[in-house]
Amino acid sequence: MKRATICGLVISGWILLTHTGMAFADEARPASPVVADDAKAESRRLFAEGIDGVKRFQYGEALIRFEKAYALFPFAVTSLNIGICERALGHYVRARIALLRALAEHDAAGGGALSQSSVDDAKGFLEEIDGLLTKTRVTIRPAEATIAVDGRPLSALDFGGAPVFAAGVAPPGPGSPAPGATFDVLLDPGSHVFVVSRKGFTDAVVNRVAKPGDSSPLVLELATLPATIRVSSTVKGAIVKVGKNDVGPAPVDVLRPAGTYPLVVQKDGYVDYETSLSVKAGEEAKIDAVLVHTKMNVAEQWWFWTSIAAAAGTVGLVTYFATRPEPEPLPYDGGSSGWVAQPSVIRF
Amino acid sequence: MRQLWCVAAALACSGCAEAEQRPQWLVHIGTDATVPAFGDRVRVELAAADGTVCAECQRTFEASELPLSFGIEPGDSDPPRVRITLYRSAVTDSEGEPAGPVIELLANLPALSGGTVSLLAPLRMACFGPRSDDAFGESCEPSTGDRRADLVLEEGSASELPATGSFDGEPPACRGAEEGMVCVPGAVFLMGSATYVPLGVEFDPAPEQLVRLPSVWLDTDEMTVAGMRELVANGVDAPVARDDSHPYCTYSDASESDELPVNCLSRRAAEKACEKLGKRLPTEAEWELAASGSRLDAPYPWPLADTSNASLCAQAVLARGTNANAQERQGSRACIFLESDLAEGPQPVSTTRDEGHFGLRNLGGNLAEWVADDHSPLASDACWGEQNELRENPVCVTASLDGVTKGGDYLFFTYNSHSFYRRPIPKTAEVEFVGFRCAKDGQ
Repeated sequence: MKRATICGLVISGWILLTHTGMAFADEARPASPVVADDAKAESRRLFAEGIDGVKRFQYGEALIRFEKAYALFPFAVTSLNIGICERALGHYVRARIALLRALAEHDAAGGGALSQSSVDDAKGFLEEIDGLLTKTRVTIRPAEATIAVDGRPLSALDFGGAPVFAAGVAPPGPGSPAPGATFDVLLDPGSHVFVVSRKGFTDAVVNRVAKPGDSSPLVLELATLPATIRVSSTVKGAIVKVGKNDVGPAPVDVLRPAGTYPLVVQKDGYVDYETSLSVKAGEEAKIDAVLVHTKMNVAEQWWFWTSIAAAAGTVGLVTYFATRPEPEPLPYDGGSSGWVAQPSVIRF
Repeated sequence: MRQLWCVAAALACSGCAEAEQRPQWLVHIGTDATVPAFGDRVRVELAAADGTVCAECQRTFEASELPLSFGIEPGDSDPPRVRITLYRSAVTDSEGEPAGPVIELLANLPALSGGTVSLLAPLRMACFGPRSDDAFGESCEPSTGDRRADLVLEEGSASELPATGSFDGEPPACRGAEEGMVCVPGAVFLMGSATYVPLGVEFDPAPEQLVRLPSVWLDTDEMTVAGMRELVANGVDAPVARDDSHPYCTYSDASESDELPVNCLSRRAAEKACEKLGKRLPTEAEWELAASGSRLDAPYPWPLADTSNASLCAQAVLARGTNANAQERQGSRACIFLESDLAEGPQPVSTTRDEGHFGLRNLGGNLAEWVADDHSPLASDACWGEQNELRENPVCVTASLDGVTKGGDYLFFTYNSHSFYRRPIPKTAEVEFVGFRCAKDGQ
């Protein structure tokens, strides 16, 4: 039973190994005179490390090396290997970009940068990848918003002549303005998180699982989002009520559908803070409740005269106790650890 | 008149009073977490309302001392906040602050009404996760696991605290007996590692995943050539056989290969072999639980006393690549370099080296092993993710072309032998350093 050790060479690693010799052979060709020799040598070293990583099926590690090698010395074979690693890691959109770049670099070099078998491989991969990618038509209402997918802004791509926007290609960062009310997004198969943001509104966060061949549209409507009411208070522990519901002590965030709500912030000894609040869909409203002490006539309070009487009695008692010997109080209990924390001794 | 008598009596009594119990708080700390797996240290801090903590207001205890109690003397100002943290000393930043998920309680003290007020500080697994928010006084509420502001420690006695390790309950034993298999008791454990430097996102053992597993049977040894030969005779596809083109594949008809672990087969072939035996491949989590034992004590699948290279080479079948391997990768013969009479390549499964925590052999070396999961980075939400939610008996199924192999092998040195190590390999690959063992539900 003769059979390749690695079945069918669906895996990219062996293809890379096939290309290894070719890569070095190709690098023997005259390079651009503006490329410093030491940069080329470093690129070659990194390329070799990348190949070593692929032999160990450690594509993530290999990819880093290839990308560094490419940054030092752009070359079609390195682009091809980057594309193969990205493909092996399931990053098909990025693999597609790298493979197209490899072919473009090959053409720019007069068709001499890649062997014919490598060109055929790259084209085969591209065909396979195009069958795996999902092109999702996204609609945003209202359109004046920014969009990020998986924590990255979208990147414009040429996909068979029609403009599409790729997810997972740009460096991580905040979303970019949506290219329109409706546009196409190219997605790797798998789970993705769309975040649509608009100033003054809460983010719309939608999870989407992309399946190969699934082209069902995605509609992101900010108008149906709940509003966020953020309530803080000048007095710690004040209770917040939105409508009839006690929503807890301030500060507190409350999600409510668009509408008008009575809001009360209460604390014993303070005048209730009452207001009415109208919020729009997706809006973020902030209320800082300033509570003021309840005013009172002290002399009318029952405890005022009681306190005076108690104070007079205390004077007598203090006089008595000041003249008698004090019993030694029991030591503090340090529990099983024997430790007694003493915030009275240690000041903050 | 009657009131005057009362006052006189009170004065008389106080004149001869015994020593008083001064007002104070007595805080009892307990946990339902397993220690030291989820924390080997308990740190107690008293903080002012703005979160300021002075060095003298801290004390750190060994988690093995739990349940424990300590006292707090009332001060002149507002009662301080108490922050109690169960954490892993190995998972801290450069300043010693806990860096990974912890179990933490940040709470206010109730008012003192006189005498000793006995308070409860339960550190529950429901709160295993991020630290409290000092700025907002927000912390995890132990009974629900929800985050709330301005928690207040509840009064109670020490007997009301959870017993250490009670979240796991008693490890359920496996049902019956299985020849050639070992029972790995179910447990709640942390898959991955917060302390090891990743080789890349695909290999990154972080973020750790909180996983609960039932008991599982695992084959004591990797599948042998002899065992595979019987399966092939019963209709299972044969792995790539050893020949001149594939000198490092082990499958052959020669009897001297009987006890060698079988390699050079795809994940699907390994699955079919296990299915033929009424078994299955272990999940990544099952494999890692079996390999890790207790996380703090066992970075490798075997008990570790000496981390020198010579000791590691003696522990397992590692870095015994052939001369051909050596041409491709430096270090693949590191153990042969240290001990020149070591045999090259995979070794018989009955080797006395590499005996793991549950009596399983060759988890750390000889051959890496296929598991049932598709590969997804631990940081990805596709299967895993950043949350500290408890995952029940997980197995990752995605569209990835890669499967996962676990464990080290004869070709590479020690990093791959760590119990948390995970390597993506195309599911169709039939490589010389990957074999398998089978699993079976324990219940």
